[in-house]
Amino acid sequence: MRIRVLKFGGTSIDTHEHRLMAARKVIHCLEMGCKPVVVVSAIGRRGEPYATDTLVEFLTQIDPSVPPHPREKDLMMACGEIISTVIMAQTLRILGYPSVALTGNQAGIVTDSEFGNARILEINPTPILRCLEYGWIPVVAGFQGVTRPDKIFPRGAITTLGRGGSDTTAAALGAALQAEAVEIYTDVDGVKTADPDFVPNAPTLREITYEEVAEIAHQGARVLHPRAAEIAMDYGIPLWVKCTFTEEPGTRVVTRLKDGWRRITGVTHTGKLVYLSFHIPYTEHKSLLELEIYRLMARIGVNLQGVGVDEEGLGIAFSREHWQTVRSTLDGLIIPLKAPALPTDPPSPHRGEGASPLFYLFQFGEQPSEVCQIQRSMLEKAGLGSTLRPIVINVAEGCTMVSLIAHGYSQEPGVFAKLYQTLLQAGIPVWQTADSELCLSCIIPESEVEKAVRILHERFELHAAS
Amino acid sequence: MLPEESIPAVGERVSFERERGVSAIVVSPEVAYLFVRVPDPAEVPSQRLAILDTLREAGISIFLIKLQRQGLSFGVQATDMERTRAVLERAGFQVTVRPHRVMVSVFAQNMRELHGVLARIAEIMYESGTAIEQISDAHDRVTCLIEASRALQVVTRLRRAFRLRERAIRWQEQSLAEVR
Repeated sequence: MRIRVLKFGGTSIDTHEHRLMAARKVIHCLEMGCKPVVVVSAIGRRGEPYATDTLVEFLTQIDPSVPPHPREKDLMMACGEIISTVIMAQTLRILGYPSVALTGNQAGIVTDSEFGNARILEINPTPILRCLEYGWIPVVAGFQGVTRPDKIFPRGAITTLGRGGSDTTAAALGAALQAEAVEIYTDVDGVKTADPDFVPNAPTLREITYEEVAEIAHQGARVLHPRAAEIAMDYGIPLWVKCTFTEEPGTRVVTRLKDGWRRITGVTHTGKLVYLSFHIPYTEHKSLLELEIYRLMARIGVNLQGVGVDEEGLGIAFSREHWQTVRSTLDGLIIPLKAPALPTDPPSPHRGEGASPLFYLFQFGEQPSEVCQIQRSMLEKAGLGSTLRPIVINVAEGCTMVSLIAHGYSQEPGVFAKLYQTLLQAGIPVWQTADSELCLSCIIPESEVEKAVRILHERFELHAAS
Repeated sequence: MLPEESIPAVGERVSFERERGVSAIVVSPEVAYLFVRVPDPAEVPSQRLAILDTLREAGISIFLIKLQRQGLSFGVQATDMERTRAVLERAGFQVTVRPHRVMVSVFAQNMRELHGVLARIAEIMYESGTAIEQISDAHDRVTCLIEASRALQVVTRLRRAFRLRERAIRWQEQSLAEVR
């Protein structure tokens, strides 16, 4: 049986007209002699009545100070996709194509019990295969599954898969059903070389590798979720990104490009970040202070990126949503240390004994805040002023990350030089960089992101990519 | 020490998706890490560019590139170390070279969404008396530059801490023989 999985995002099915266009793609699949399995997201985006965010707001508005239980929140969020399945199945039915709407549970998708970010454990494809044998088109709710039965809930509990969950559902169903292809339909005509809001004439890539598409998605392109790309890559399922509203061929995701490796795939941007640069000119405790900073950030639930060590300090970036928490945690913080910079191996239980304590005081900028001044004066009153070591933190609040997806760049001398030169010559400061085999990233001011994406796209001649 | 069989393995419970959390450790072959100092702070951005241009003209590949307050640091393959130093010194730059380093990369899906992995890695390094000389992160990994002679001990501790099986550890060519 030739099976194709077709996934439609929220904007592909938000109006009757759009749903008819989506239905035509499904019918075309049937006409090609394939059995379509349809996966749908919730209808529309934030603010629209059946969008996931709208449903969550409905729940949280009961009392914003009391967060809903993750189980109930998942139950609520799953409703959006269930509504979509029924609407889409009915749309196909009125066009004369028998269809059946299936929840994640009814489609046999079993997950772990991490509500809000569940992972698919197994899929029992029997219900879907039965539907196909009967000649029905299964329309499956994306983004959801069900936990394994337990003592309290013998039929399990509904879970959601987290961001990009419908793409993940489509790819996993493709794997479970051994589909000949998974087609992700969206409102753009494939994977582009840059955000079309910034580069309107950014070309659509005709082919891209699984690794590239996963990287491009991780770095901010919103066209396909990396989890889906990773499943497709691991199971070798042909994957397409196509537009619901056009007849454009879209982007084919492949293991290897026909014409060898493309060096530069695209320019992406992601994140509203804050960048902190800690000045730690104290060699005796630098490693331990860095460790304390990492521990503190972990304790307050802040994930770091753009990390870089230099001889006299450390730089870190993190999501701006955490900025106030980070600021209030660090401002005026004192870390007293006795231990030497690096302990003996194995660590001695007596390390640091007898050594004079040093008090490391974290302060933002050269002018200490009121809290810092109080901390300082307390230490001085206690006769410990001479043991005070300030750690000055410089802040760049409005940052973002711009990335060049450059497969195998490290074999190509000068790519980073070209990237850095392009940004510098355009007057765009670069706070820090990160690199891997697939990607070069720079942390830059957010105000410059559009300009940065445009000039990098031009400088690396991505208008000619395909 | 626990026998290997008693360490719960990662990567065997999820059918379709990749496992959460740390899944692998990869150790690079030996590399050299270079720091090029720019004496005048006002000149740092333009001199970084001059350094990069010099390397580009010489056809030298670099990685683990970090902007430093006083210049630029980066890694090169061990075989390129002497040539890189010579090229940069000829161009008038002050170069500090740290030979015999390896990059230990700890892999996890969605690393940037996991709390505390970086802190745990740094703790393990610190407790084993190993300085992290440079660090870099990507969506799927944290990479630490350390002395090559520390690699075996660090990897053993990381493996135990993240409960990885032997097959989740990959020593890229050269480093295994040299480090062991």
